[in-house]
Amino acid sequence: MSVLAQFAVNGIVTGSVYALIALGFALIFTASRVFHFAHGGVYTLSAFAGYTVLVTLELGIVAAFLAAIVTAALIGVLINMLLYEPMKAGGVSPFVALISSFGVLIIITHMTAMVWGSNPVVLSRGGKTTVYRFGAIYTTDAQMLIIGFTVILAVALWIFFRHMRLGIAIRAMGNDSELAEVVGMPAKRLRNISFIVGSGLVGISAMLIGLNVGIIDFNMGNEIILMATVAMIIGGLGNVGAAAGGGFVLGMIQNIAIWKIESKWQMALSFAILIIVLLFKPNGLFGEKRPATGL
Amino acid sequence: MEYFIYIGTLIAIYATLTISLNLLVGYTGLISIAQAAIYGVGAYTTALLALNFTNDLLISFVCAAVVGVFVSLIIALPSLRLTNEYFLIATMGFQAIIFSLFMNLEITGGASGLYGIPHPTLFGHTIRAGWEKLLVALALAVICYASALRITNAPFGRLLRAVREDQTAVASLGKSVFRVKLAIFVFSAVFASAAGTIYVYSLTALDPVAFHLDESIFIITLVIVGGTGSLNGSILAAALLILLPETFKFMAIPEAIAPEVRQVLYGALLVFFTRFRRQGLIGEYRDVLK
Repeated sequence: MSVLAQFAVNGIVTGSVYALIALGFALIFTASRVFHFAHGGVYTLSAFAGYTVLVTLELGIVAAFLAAIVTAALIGVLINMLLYEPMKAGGVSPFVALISSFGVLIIITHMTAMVWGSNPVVLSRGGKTTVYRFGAIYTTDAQMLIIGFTVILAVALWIFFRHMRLGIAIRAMGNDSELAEVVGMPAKRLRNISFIVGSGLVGISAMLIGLNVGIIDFNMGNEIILMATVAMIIGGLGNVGAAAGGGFVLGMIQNIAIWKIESKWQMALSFAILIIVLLFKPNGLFGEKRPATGL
Repeated sequence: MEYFIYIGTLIAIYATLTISLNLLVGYTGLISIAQAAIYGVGAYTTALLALNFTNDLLISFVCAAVVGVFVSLIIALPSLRLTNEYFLIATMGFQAIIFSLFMNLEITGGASGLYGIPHPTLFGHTIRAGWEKLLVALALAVICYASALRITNAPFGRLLRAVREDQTAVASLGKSVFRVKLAIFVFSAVFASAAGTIYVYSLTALDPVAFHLDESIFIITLVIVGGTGSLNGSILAAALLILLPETFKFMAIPEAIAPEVRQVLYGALLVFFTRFRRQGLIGEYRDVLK
C-alpha cells in the first residue's frame, strides 16, 4: 500500500512538472491559437541561461532565476513578433505557424548544443537537499517547491482568465481575433503580453525542474513539450486550468502505471491516452463544450 | 567513388519518401508526421525477414509493403476522423508509439537496432556492390515518381485536390472524403515502406534513430522546401538538402559541431519557407499551407 502511495506522490510531482509547462503552453494557445512547440526550445534555452548565471558566473540563485525568466520572456515574445504575428497579418492559419514552430524548436535545440555542448551538465545550487518524510512516503524540498508553485500558478491563472478584464479579453481574442479588434482591443499587444507571461513562466519551470533533476541537456525541451501537448489536449483546449488538470492526470497515470507496466513504455502509454482522448472526448476531460476538432 | 554512390542512394531514398509524403501534404492537404514510422516499419520488416527467412529483394518489397499498409491503416483509420492540427497531433502520437516499439521490443533489437543483415538477392543474383544498390534505389524512386505522376494526373488526382480545397463540396457530390483520404494514405505507405527496404539493404544494418519524430519533421521540411504539390520539387529538395551538409566537409566547420549546424540549417529552412515562400522552391500552389 505504501508503495502505491509513494507512486502517487511521485505522480503528483511529475504531474506538476507537466502542468507547469502546459500552463504557459495553454496560455499562449488561448491567446494566439498556435500550438507553440518552440516553447520546448524556450524552456531549454532558459535553463541554460540560468545554468550560466548560477554555475559558470556564480551570481547566486536569485540572479539565475531572473536570467532564466528574462531570457525565456524575450525569446518567446521575439518568436511571436518576428514569426507568428507577420504570418497572422498575412492571413496564414495558425496551423502553418505550428509547422514553423517545429523549425524554431530545432534551431534553438541545436544552437544550445553548439554553445553549451551536447553532454548533460549539472545544475545545482550547492548545499544539501532536505528530504521530508510522511510515514513511509518521501519527498524533497525541490519537489515540494514544484508542487506548491504549480498549484498557486494554476489557481492564479484560473482567476485571471475567469474574473479579470485582461484575462477575459485574452480569451475573447483567442476565440475571434478580428472581432476583438473591431471592438477596440489591442489584439497584438494582448498576444505579446501572453507570450511574455507564458514564456516567463516556462523560465521559472525550467529552473525548478532543472534543480530537481540536477542535470540539464540540450534535448530536455523536446520530450517535455510533447508531454505538455498531451496534457493540454487530455485536459481540454483553450483553458489553462484544464491544461494543468491534464498535466496532473498524465503524471499520475504514468507513475501509477509503473506499478504494472515497465517505465520504458511511458511515452507510448501517454500518446495512447492522447489518441483515445482525441477520438472519444475531443473536448478533453475538463474542457468546455466546444468542438475541439474544428477550431 | 563509394562516397558519391552512397550519397546518391541516400538522395534516391529521400526523394521516394518526400514524394510519398507530398501526395498527402501537397495534394490532399493531410499533414502527417508519421511518415518516418511507416518508413521504419518497412525497414524492420525487411531486416527481420532477411535475418530469419529470405533476403530476396522482391519478396522483401512485397512484405514491407504489406506490413506498411497494415500499420498505415492502424494509423489512418482513427486519425482521419480528425482535421488539421488534430490530425497532425494524432499522427505524431502514432509516430511516438511506433518509435517506442522499435526502441523497446526484443525482436527489434532495442536501441542498438539490427545488424549483420545479408545483401539482397534478385533473381538469384546477389546485389553486393554499391552501384548496384544505387540502381535499385533509383529504380524505386523512378517507379514512385511515375506512379505519383500518374495518380495525380488521373481523375483521382483531381479528387485529391478537391478534397484539399473543399471537403464539403466533395461530399456534396456524393464522394466519400474519408475513403479518398484513406486510399492515398495507404498508397503513400507502400512507397514509404519500400524506401525502408532500400535503407536496410544499402546499409545492411538498421538504427532506430533513423525513424524518430525528427526524421518525420525532416521529410515534411523536404516537402515544403521543394514545394507542396510539386513532384519535381520533392526530388530537387531531397537532392539539395542531402548535398548541402556534405559541403560542410569542404568548409571550415569543425567536425564536432557539423551535425548541429546541419540541424540548425534544416530548422532555418523550415522556418524560412513557411514564413516567406510557402509554395516552396518550384511549387505552384501557395494555398496548400494557408
